[in-house]
Amino acid sequence: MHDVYAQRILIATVIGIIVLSALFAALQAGLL
Amino acid sequence: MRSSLRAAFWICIYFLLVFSPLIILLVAPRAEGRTFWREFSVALGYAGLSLMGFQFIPTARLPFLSDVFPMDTLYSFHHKVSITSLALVAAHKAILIINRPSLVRLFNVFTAPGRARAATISLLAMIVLVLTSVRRKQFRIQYEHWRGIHIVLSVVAATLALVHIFGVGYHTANPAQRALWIVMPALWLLMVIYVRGIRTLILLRHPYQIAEVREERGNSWTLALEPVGHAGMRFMPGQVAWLTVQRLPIAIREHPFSFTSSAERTDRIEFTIRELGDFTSTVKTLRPMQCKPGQCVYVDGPYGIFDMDQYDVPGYVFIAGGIGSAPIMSMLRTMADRGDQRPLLFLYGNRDWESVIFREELDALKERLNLTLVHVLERPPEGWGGETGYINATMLDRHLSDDRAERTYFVCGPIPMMHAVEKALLELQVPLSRIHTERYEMA
Repeated sequence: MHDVYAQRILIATVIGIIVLSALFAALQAGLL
Repeated sequence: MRSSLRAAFWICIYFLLVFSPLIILLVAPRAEGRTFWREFSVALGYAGLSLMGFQFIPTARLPFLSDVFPMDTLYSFHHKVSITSLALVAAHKAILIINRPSLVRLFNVFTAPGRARAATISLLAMIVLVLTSVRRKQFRIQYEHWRGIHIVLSVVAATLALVHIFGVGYHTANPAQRALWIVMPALWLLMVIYVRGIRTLILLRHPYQIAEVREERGNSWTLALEPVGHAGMRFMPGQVAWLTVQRLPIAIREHPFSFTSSAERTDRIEFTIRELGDFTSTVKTLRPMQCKPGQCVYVDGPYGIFDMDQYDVPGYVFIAGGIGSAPIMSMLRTMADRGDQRPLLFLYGNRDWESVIFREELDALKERLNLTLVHVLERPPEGWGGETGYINATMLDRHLSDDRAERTYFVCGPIPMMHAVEKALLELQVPLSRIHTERYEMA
């Protein structure tokens, strides 16, 4: 049961990292 | 606090720790002349290191985490997050080079400046770390040697990554970012000091001696231990402990096993161990002996929430394969000692009749418990009238009672069996929240 939640947390981590990194990079590059 | 609330709290702390470098980057003042891909790559590198450093926490066997999350899930999460952190760090380098191919020269550890050399060696250490963990058995690395390699490479990878961050100094002029990369490594170091220092001292003050080494069926041995100079350990039936046998607990030669004895007894604890190579094959050579320097056993535990006492339900269903019966045995013995008469169903899969561990005792326990025992044999003897093959949905459907959704299920055994059983139970309308599993391959 817990593995399902662990999998979701991992997916949320990866999505969160990509979104925050892209947001930061876009801000720094003056795209946003 | 309820365990689901505590779990939610620790998951929030995890996200805060992992995302903190990116949040600080986001709120920092905007710099001039930056390009998207370079900044994106730097952010991925920061996130990769924060994930890598986080790895020191779930494996530290911290009681406030092991009381909330199953140990096998913590370790399985640790494995997956490690691969993710390696992927992020590799992506950090790949994007930088694709964006500016001339930077490939920084991979030459002989000519590159120190800060780039640190990054390359850190990445190599991470690659070896992940490869030796994922392919330990294929590479035939002994568990004990692997533990040593794992700890050294983790510390090397994290330290050199920090050297790289401060050496390059990109975004570390921001005081919050600089403070973060001082506080976070301090936290990782604290974990190492706790695991290798404080807990070792606690274990040294609570030694055990070998009271009995008993041969069981199925190439297994029961190791019975008695506390020396202390009252022993209280544990819940189904929990695990890490054993260090006849070495000092600092020796990194500890192995996780389930308690198999009754939780009602603290004066003598037992672990049943099947010979699977490495340490497990040496158990039969141990002899009962007094705890003298270098001859004691240290028991680090109890850990885990694969524990029936957490669930006050009308009855339990146990499903085990082979040595997966070890934690189930602790549950059955505990219930027998407590005079618990709730209905129990135990489906127990084994290769053949002769290798059924605890066979005779399980028969005897039927007299003391409201237990229905179903043996499932892969290679049944001639004239066998019981279940054969592997435990599947049709077989479960035959044996589960009508109140199947109300029962709590404990499943332990080989990973393919556990996946098949979990899937079958879900097909039979058993709620996911009622199914509790425990993998044996944590490390």
